[in-house]
Amino acid sequence: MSVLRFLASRLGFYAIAAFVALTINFFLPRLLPGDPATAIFGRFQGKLQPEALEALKEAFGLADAPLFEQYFTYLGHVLTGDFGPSVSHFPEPVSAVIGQGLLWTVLLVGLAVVISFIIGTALGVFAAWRRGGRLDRWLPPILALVGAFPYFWLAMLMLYIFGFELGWFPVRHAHSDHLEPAWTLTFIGDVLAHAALPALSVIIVSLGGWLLSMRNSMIAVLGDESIALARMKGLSPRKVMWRYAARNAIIPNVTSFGMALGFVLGGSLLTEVVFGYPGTGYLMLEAIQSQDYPLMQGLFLAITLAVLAANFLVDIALIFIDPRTRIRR
Amino acid sequence: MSTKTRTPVMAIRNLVVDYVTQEGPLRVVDGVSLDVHAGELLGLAGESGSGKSTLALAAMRALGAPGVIRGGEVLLSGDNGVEDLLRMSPARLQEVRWSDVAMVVQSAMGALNPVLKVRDQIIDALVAHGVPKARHAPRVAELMQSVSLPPETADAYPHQLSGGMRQRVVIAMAIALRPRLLWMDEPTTALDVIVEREILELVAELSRKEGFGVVLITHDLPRMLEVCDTVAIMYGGRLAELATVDVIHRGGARHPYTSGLMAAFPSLHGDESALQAIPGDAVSLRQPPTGCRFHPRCARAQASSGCMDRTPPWRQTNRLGVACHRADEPE
Repeated sequence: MSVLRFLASRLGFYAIAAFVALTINFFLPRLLPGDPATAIFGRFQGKLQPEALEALKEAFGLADAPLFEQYFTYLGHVLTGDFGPSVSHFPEPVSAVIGQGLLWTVLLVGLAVVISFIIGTALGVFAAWRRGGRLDRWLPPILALVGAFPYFWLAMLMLYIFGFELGWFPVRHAHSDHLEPAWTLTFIGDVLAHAALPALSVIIVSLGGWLLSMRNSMIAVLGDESIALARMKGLSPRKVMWRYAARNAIIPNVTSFGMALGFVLGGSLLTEVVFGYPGTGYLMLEAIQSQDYPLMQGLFLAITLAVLAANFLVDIALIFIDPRTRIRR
Repeated sequence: MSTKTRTPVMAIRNLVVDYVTQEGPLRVVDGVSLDVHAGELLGLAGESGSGKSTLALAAMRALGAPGVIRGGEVLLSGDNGVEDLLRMSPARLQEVRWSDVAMVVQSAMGALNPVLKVRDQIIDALVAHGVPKARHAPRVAELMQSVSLPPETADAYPHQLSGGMRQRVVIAMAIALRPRLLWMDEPTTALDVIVEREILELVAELSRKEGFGVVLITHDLPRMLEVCDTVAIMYGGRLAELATVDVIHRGGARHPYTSGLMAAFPSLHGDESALQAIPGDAVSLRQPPTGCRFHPRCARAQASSGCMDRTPPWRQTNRLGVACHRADEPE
């Protein structure tokens, strides 16, 4: 009962946060000098009739209506997922463009982050359990070293060696051009082959962070009296390691994991640019380069909502793994 | 006090424990021998750093780095006869601990796993020692009743309980497998005096009812004298005196350190101005004094008795004893 009430209150909080984000997303561009219609008009360097400016403004919803009327129109459009047409992908609507990119990004980066979190956390548990052991001595410094390289440089190096020189992986795109998207084994295999190298680059770079934070938090927990007591109680080492130590040590890692998930949409930019992967990060670059304001606005909103959604997921996860986050009766 | 002539539940023999440090080993427990009998409440007192907690952990074979057991025996008499806890196989140790000898650690909050319900933490211990599943729920209910907690406490998480309740839970967990001996390492340090009293009375009552021996480590000497039968006083890693509470109450302490400790606590009936601190600093284990370790602080120390250069031998009388050169000399 209290859990449901807690969730409802969190949901209410995120609804307010989302609303605030929507509002800022509306007002911020309008506080800036210039507008997309004028920018496009300007790019044609006088080759457009002045009437065209009016038409463009209308297309972008920049009609001379009072600001608040515009705002409510905007809210209505957002709620129905209508961000207008994309400029760079004209005449495709922004929502369709983002939907496409979202699918690829969630598939590639989302999966890579999840895999990296699971492997890194598990390695952290083992490293802390056998503190000073072989795993603990070698893996953290190596992974920290790898993680210290600029990501784009490492990604390009991997692309060059494994994609270009050795030819083990395709070098760009999410699937081969000659294949039509379908639920066939060939297509799914093709998609996985395309995702493997970029995903690997993300995993390699982020693994060390998960390992180190889990290791450190696990070492702190292992020093607790509850662990000494669990051992004395006669519990098997496996039970002490997972049920008493890792179960407690993972709590801060889950919070970071939620944050990482939230940043998947925006943070995938470098990966997708290096590997020519058609996700939201790549779209963002396109949108900025082509001054595609509707697409940008849609992407910003998608990223904001993704961060909020990820935080909500963390709240739910923490309810299950940490009873202290539940509100007391 | 009944005279207990049976085999002790636990007999510690010449236990020696070092802390390995960069500057060399520190002898924290130096040849301590101690018996605990069934149903006996033995108080273990001494200043901070006197080796009480280390002794407890070593006797549980739960001493972590940098502590190393250098020698001695911890003889446990159970269903399999007398076994040395320090020399048994890890598998046997896992069996014996908690079912024969259990421990209540210092911090009740830190001792409990915050993400598991009280019930599950108790059941974990039952499962580890092969208690059949059908016995789990009834045993948990029994335990809650034994420590005077409402039955629904079993379904609470540690953070939902008060400090006193948590300590009761820890005690319930410790006696879950009906051990013959319970070590309690300052079980009431974080609690207020009223709760402290309740807890100690509970332990005394449980010990009488279930017949297990208790070693109670505490700084609170007056409280210890209230609940315990026998008191062991440690100084600088060695046992200074083992005396019955009656004897100490009658002013019959034979070691000057014991008398000093007694005088350092206010008594309800006594004169407050009579309160006396023991002069000098606690013993340094890095450079322990020669002879009797207490001699630099001892008013009765006397070169002709050997206080300055000979380690006082343990003088045993019946079950009690003292390590003082001048114990038999008149004041």
